[in-house]
Amino acid sequence: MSSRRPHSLALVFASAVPAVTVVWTVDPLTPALIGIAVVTAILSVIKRPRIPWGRIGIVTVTAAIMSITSFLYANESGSIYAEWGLITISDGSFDVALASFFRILAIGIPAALILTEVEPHEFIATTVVRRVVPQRAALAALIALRLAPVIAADLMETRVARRAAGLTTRFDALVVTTLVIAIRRAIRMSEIAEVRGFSAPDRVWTSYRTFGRKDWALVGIALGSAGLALLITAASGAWNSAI
Amino acid sequence: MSAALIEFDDWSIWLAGADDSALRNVSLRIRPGERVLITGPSGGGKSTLLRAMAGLHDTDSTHQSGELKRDVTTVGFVGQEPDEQILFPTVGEELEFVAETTVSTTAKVRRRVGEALKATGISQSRRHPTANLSGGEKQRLAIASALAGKPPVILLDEPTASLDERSTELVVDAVARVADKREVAIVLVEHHIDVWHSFVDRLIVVADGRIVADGKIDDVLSKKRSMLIALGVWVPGHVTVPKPTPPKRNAGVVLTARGISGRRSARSGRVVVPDFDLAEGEVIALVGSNGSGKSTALRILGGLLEPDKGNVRYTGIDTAPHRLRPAELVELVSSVVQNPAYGFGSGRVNDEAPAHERAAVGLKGLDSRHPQSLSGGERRRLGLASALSRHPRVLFLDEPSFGQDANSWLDLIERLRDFLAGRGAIVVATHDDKFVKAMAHRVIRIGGESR
Amino acid sequence: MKTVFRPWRTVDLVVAAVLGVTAGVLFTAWNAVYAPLSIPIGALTPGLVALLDGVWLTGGLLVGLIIRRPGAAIFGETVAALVSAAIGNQWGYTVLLTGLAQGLAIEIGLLLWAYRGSLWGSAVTAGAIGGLVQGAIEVAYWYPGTDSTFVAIYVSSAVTSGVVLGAGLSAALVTVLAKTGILANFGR
Repeated sequence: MSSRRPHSLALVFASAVPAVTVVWTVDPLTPALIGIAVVTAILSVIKRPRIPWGRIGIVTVTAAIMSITSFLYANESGSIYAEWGLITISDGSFDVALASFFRILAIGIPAALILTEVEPHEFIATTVVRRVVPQRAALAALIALRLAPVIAADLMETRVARRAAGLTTRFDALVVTTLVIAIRRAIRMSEIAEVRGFSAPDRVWTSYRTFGRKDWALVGIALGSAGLALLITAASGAWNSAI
Repeated sequence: MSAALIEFDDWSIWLAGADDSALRNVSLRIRPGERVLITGPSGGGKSTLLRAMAGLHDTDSTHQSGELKRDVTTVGFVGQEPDEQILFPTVGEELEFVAETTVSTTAKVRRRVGEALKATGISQSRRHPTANLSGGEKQRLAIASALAGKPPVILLDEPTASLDERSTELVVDAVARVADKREVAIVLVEHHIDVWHSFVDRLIVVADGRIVADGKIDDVLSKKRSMLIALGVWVPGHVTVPKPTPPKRNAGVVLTARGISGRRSARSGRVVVPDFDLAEGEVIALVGSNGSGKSTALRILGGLLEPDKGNVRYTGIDTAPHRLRPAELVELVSSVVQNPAYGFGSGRVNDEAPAHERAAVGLKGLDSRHPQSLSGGERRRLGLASALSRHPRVLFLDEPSFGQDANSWLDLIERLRDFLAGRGAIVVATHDDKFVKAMAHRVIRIGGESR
Repeated sequence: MKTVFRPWRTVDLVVAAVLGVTAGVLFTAWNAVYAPLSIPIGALTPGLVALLDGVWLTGGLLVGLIIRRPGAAIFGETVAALVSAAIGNQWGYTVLLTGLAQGLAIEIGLLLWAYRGSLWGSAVTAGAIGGLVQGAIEVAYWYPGTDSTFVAIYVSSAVTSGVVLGAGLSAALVTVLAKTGILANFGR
């Protein structure tokens, strides 16, 4: 079964690799290398990848804005060009800003790529079968996920109902009403869930799948390339320890 | 005679919260394959009894005496509100959740899910998103979920209370299919007897926390007819309503609708509203199936939603209704949405409408209850009382008669006629044919949304 | 000790998860309104943007303060993160990691009161610890290589926000919700 879609847990794991590896050094090279490697690995396992340009755009803009902050408040190093209160612009500012820009892209782009590929039920089922997450907590989380659009609709209904009652839309009132409605729904749904076997100890998790060769390869390549990237950075002398 | 599945022996219950009423000295048995209908007035204890059968009363928040034996390892339970019966994002996951605990392998789970789909006549695929199902389809899926656990009994608490006629038929049909071979006992709570009459064997009447009648349905209906009517049960062929009196010939126009179309949200389909004028003392009913856009049309007319095209005009007011501030809007017209409680600003029934207005729509007591804790029917009546207390020129009603027992239904009609006599006008979106016949001077059909 | 480690009922689990989700949905709405304002301010000030951070702790705080069982805060914060990942945010499923860390921090705050301290006392303690961890993670992740003054301002802003916005909002919400009678089942 080589044509099957990648396992949700493998995708989540691969997309999280940059988040736990880029933090060790503050330089532009590491996140760039790790990001490119992980993105390539993810794209190669997704069957017909649709590139979410909109989301990537948002990530890029966010990265640009956040790197401005890093640019203005970076540790000074090399020659200093300007100082204004807490703001110092030196040679180091450019490196730090670029490092922070690439770091955010390296975390954000893989995350955007896997978003529509991950099936929460499969992801959660796997964490339960592998005994990472308690079964009832996982089921409760799944039930709550399905309720998200219902809650969003309740929020809209509350606005309309308030206008019908001659009241303006106040955020605090919306929050309280939406929470009350959500808790009531949750209490009743917990009864339905219990009657339907929520607490039964033995459950066949139909959504659970074992990892295939491709899934292990994805995880291995993501981890391996991140490790390699760290080595390359260290060897090239660009390493700038974050600690 | 086979052994009872559920047996009450002089059983009583007192509940801590005000949400359910108490029950006294209940003695009855539910046997395999039985088809039982429980009826009675709102707040009389019907649901408390059904929930006891389901084992939903915990011992922490209740006090119980007597004996309740439940010789069942599992039951099926279907409640009122379609959105709360569905726990997962797809049809398949919904059914698997139940099947996963009752059989031992993935293959058996799949077979069980297939059987449940077939038995209830659900045509959607397993990957179909539950969010896209109509209310009737959700209830049918809830019945299928119950069935996937192969329970000896399925309990249904007003499963069609918020459904139109066609969706109700779907649910009745699904229950009938499931119960066909008498392998599953069915216990239903309902106000409307006629819908279930031919299907049910036995009728239990609960009022004021006691069982006041229990027997073969036809026996109870013939022997206790007057009592049932007094209790507000929808007895077949009882409620007859005189035709509405026509509005005065030269009554002034209060609302004009011209070239209106709009949509509920950016992603929903377009709803077109035919042009009309509404006169003082007149009632116009907007009809159409679930999802046809009646509510959307009503919201545009009531100034709650901006139309994409066209104009709504209230006589004498130059501002478009959707541009009026909420406080200005409710000085002119009032809308009672399906969930008016969402808009209640206070935490107490008392503060939402004066006592005489509440009494006029048959809402007594409840003073210090939280509006959110009322039943669907009670919330609508409270919304109506609140709307009427502002003396609007036009009243917009969204399914005002859903979930009402016969007595409160008649109270509703009477109160609305008073309002019309006081020179009001009404636009109502409804599925209720009886209500249309009793109230509407004109019927406007809202077509399917063009997607 | 019996009251500290009460077992989880099904209703606790589902209500906790739904509260987490609701927090996620509400704050997505909040974000849509306030993000355009906060971004330019955040870019130019030395870390004051963390003053808005407390809002993101309310998932864990609300659940922890209402359910009052071990793990409630971790669960609430993680579910809120899961929702925001499933709906789609800039960071995807990596927010599960930060959610877990923040939840753990809030949990420690509540544990210090053995899950039965006064509403405001436990909220403020948990909010402060939550803010500290949140600020530290954010600086380490998103603003690497910034100078120590920036770090100090950022982290103390996050702590302030954890107390004022996070604890304040959550405790106020619990008080209002308790008045509706809906939390009767949870001893509030």
